[in-house]
Parts: sequence; C-alpha cells; structure tokens
Amino acid sequence: MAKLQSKYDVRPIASTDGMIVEELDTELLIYDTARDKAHCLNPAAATVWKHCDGQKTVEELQALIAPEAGAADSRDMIVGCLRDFQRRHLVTGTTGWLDSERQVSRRELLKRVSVTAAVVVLVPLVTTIVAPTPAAAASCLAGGATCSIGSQCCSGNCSGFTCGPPLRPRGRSPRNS
Amino acid sequence: MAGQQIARMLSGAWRVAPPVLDFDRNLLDGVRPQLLASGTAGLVWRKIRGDQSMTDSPVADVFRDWYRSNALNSARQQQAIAAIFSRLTENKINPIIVKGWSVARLYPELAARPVGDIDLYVAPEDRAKAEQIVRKLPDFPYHVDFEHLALALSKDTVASVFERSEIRELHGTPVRVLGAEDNLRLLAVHFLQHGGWRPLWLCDVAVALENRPPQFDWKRCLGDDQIRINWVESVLVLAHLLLGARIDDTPAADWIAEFPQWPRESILEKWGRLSIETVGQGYFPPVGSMLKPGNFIRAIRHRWDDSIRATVEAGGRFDNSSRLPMKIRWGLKRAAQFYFPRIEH
Repeated sequence: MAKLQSKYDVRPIASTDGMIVEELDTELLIYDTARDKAHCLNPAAATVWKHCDGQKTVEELQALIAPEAGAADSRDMIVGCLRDFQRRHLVTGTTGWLDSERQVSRRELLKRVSVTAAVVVLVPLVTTIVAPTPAAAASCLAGGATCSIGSQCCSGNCSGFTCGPPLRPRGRSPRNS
Repeated sequence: MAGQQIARMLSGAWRVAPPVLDFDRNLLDGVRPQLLASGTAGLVWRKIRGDQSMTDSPVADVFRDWYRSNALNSARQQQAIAAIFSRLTENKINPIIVKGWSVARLYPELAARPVGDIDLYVAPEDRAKAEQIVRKLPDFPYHVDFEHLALALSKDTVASVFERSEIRELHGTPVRVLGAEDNLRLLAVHFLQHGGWRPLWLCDVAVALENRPPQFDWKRCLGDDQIRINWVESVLVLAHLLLGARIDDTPAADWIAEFPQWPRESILEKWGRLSIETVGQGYFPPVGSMLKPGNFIRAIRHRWDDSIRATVEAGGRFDNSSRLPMKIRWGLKRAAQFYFPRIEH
C-alpha cells in the first residue's frame, strides 16, 4: 500500500531552463537550446505539460485529459505522455516512478481508444521536429563558409574559396556619411 | 516553368487571409526543393493549411515543420536581439535593426518568415566598438552583420536615418527599427543587390508595402536620386507582376504596362533554379560541384547572365536598353575581384 501511495505522490515539474516555448495554432512548440532539439506537443500534451507545476499529482494531471476515456485508458495516456516528456527532458520528478508503471505502446493505446473516435484527438502526442536553424534566411555566408565570390560573404571577402574577415579597416564606414 | 509556379504559390501569402490556392499537390511536390531553398516554407504552409487535400500529403508535413521551426527560431532570435540591444545601449551605442526580425514582425505571424542573421545599423564611428561588443557575447547563436546598408542608405545622413527610425518593444527592451519609408527602400534595393534570387525578399517588399502606415511619405521613400527612384519603383512593379502585391495607389502604378520584360524573366529563371545546395550561397552552385565541366560552364553562364546585378553594379536604370555594356563592365570587375581579391574595387 505504501508503494502505491508513493506512486500517486509523484508531482512532475516541467523543465523550463534553456527551453524556448512558443504556442502556435493549437500546438505548443518547445526548443531545448542545450540539446538543440525541438518538440511539438499536441493540445492534450500541451495541457499536461503546462500543468506540470510540481503541485499537481499524476491523478490530477490524468483528470485534465480525456475525461471521456475510461480510467485505465486515461491512466495509460498520462503515463505514456509523461514517459515521452521524460525521454525528451521536458519534465523532472518522474524518474523511478515511470519505470514501475505499465508500458503501453502508443499504437496499442490508439487502437484501444479509437473505439471512441472523439477521444483519439485527445491522446497526448509529442513529436520531434526540425530544430530551428539561423541559416534559413541568411543573405550572406559567415566566416569560414565555402564561397566562390566576395559578394557571397558577409565580410565581402572570399579568399581561397573561403569567407574571410572584412578587408576594410575596422571602424571605417562603407559609403555612409 | 518552376519559377512561375513558385510565384503563383507565393502570391498573396503574406496577407492575413492568403488567397485560395489554385495548385495541386503534384505541382507543389514539383517545386518543393525550390520553395524550401527559398526560405518560403512557412508562407507556403499558410497557403495550404486550409486545404485538406494538401495537408493530408506527406509533402505538406515538410512545410509545416519549417513553419514550426520558424516560430521557434523567431522566439529564440527575439531573445538574442533584446540581449544585443541591451548590451549595445549600455555601452552608449544606438543600433537600428534592419531586415530579418524587423520585417518578420510585419507578417501576420512570425512563423511565416524565417530569420537568419541579425543586421544592425550603427553610426560609422560606433561600428568598431559595436563589433567588439558583439564578438564578446557568450554563445551568441546568430551572425551579426554591420555591412548591409551602404547602397540603400548611401544618400542619407546617419542623423536623418535615426531621426526617422521608430522604437518597438521586445521582451521589455526598446528596439529601434527603420522608419517605414527607409525600410521599404532598403528592402527593395537589397532585393536588387542580390540579383532578386530569393522570392522571400520580394514577399518582404510586398508585406512592407501593403502594411505601410497611412502617413507613409513616398517622397521620403523614393528620395530625389533618379536611379534610386527607378530601382525602388522597379521592385514594386516586380512585386505586383510576380506576386500580386497591390501597388495601384503607389507612384509605380503607372509604370506597369511599360515595364521591361527582362527583369521578370531573369528573376523567374533564378527562382526556378534554386536548390537546397545553394542556400546561403545565393544562386551560385557550391564550389565542389563546379569541378564538373558541365556545371562550371553553367555557373559561368549564370554569372554572366545576371542582368539585374550587372545593372545595380553599374548604377544603371531598369529600362528597355541593352544590358550588354553593363554585363561587360561587371564581368571585368568580377574578374579583377577574383584575381586580385585583396584590392578594393
């Protein structure tokens, strides 16, 4: 009984250090700057993550998602969701407890809950997405990049097929006055 | 032609309610490499997200991922911009941010446009100190560029550029952006300076144009230099002809019927040629690929054939006259740059 009690005392905490969080449409996007990984949380997963405040118990979090699903299903959903979070370093405070919980694959869970179609959209899902790259809109190449002419480089200096430092003396204006 | 399809795909994509897309998923798949390479994936997603026949396709997932990535990168860069402005103003340097985020904020959502470098304008006497401060920023993930404004703002004094600039707040930090007139002129000239190779930059012009404030002063935007007027108006006409930007109430409206055909053809040809390998390298192929004889000849032809850059480099007008003298002049200049890279040309 004591062991069961300890399971229900788990209060996950969302990791926010070094995380950039952005709501987009109905999704929540999280970029882990330390690991250079980006994640996309569907609305159900976003609800859970936002409520991982170190105060709410797993039971309370479970109540937030898919109340229409049966108790066993919603239990499996919250466990799967927290497992996803833990694997992606999005929560703390769940280590140990999750290992002791029954593991249900997402496919199995979706198959089970799809009997009630309305519930499917409420299954929390976390996916890994393309990590943001600053290069996508750049109009010039940074130092060290491969180049063939000077105008490709931000410095204006392409030497030996590599962007080098600016040739102009520092502090001198290009053409402004 | 791929370039035309890209133009169709991006038409009006910067608006709050983008026009309905007349495009099927096979066509989208056909120009996917160019669209991804052009930095317009977020804009494309905005156009297709309401069409289930498109969003059901795996092709669409790529665009949605880039849209999401744009959102995160914008959020990340906003923190970086606020940090850099704080640091520079602490050191009594007053920067203006141009392009990048300063344009992305004009789109209906930041996820529509990717952001890359941080382009800053500072008074010439502050530049060395500003560069030094930026270099010392720990783990700063963005390239900061102080080089970009010469041509577009060369006729203005630093004081007048600052006088017309505006303050926006970003994470509680005041961030200075160009006045609407200077911004539009800069975007237009920047598009030409780079030969018009990136459709995103023409979308930038369109969004700045259609979101200009009611008190927008065309005289201030165009100035009185006839060449610069010609360049800015040319880009406005191109934004209209290629992307459907609304220019009927601008000074460029009268020019649409007489506008030369060659700039449009040159740009569409470049857009059709975009590829992931050339991202960040303009429309030039990577050096490695030029070792193959076929690619080498093609690269030489593309360089020679860039009438837009030849015109800008020569300080010429966009009109119906021959581009040949400008191309020859530019070709010689580039040959000199290649063989004598350490001499200023």
